[in-house]
Amino acid sequence: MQNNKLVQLARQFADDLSDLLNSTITDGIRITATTLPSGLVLLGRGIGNSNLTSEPIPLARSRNRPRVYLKYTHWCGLDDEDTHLATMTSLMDLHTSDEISNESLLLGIDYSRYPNNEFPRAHMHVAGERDDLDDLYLGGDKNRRTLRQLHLPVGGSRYRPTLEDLLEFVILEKMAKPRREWKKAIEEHRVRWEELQLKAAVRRNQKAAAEELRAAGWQITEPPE
Amino acid sequence: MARRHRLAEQNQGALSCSLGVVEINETFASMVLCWLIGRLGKWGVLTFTSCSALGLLRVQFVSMSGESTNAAAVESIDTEEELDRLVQDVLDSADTTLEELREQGKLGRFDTEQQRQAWHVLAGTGRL
Repeated sequence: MQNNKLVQLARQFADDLSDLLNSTITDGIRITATTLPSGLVLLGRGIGNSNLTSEPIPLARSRNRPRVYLKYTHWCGLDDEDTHLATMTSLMDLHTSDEISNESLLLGIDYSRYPNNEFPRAHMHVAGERDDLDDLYLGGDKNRRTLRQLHLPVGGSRYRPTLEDLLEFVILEKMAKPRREWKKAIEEHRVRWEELQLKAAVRRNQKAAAEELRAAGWQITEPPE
Repeated sequence: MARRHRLAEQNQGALSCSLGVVEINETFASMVLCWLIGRLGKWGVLTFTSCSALGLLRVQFVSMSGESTNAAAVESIDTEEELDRLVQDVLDSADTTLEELREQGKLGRFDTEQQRQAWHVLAGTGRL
């Protein structure tokens, strides 16, 4: 049995992601979703009740040969108040091929709300070669690491990089030819995202928010207990 | 090229367009097509095919990815059995097992990119 609120918000979010992609770089990409009995929803390209693995998204207009592919997987569920979507985990990878491999990875941005290891909730993996990484490793077991296995912290939970940031990176670094109105689209989507994040931050930090508003001249009274 | 010439000849004068039932003149049709390309190009492409017998130019919108241009589909997985089968598909395609993924997830290091992605896919299934 699907939760109507969850389905409605997931559909809205999927449409929003599709619009962002198709307003900036791609043609006709649709992000779809499937819900689980646990109350979580998985979003990505080609996701449905018969497939949990998202298909790589070619970051190019249909008439151009793609240079990079986006692998996008996003889990979310309703927040504690059952009113907003909250991200559980997300993965945004750039690859140089639609055949996903260690060699095709350019960079990956991971987020996990409840990580099961000690690394930052939001971190980036960058692919590349370094011969001296073992010299930097002081761990007990001298396991060889590659650059792509390091977890570079990025912005924390609230201010982690977004799909808007990643698409902007692809465009500014000339890996894809954007649409004419791409800047406007990125800005519109970014404003919406930042507003959502700000509202969430206020909900979780009400005293600090009230303090700041009082300092700006607002009259704020505390809600009844 | 010859085909294009034939089309141009056919389209001298009034041009019919199968997007609608109205007959419209060539200049107006060009303007409408330019506008449509701009609007719909975001989701796919317009394709043009001629019908020489009728002297018409058929205009058709095709989503390049073959994906629906309607609101996003949100499907549901309703049983644990269905979910188990899908989880196994993910594990098979990443050439790994749940135990291996759990272990690699704890270390934060994955042998392959397919396994790192599989971990993220399975993270929300409650199986890890």
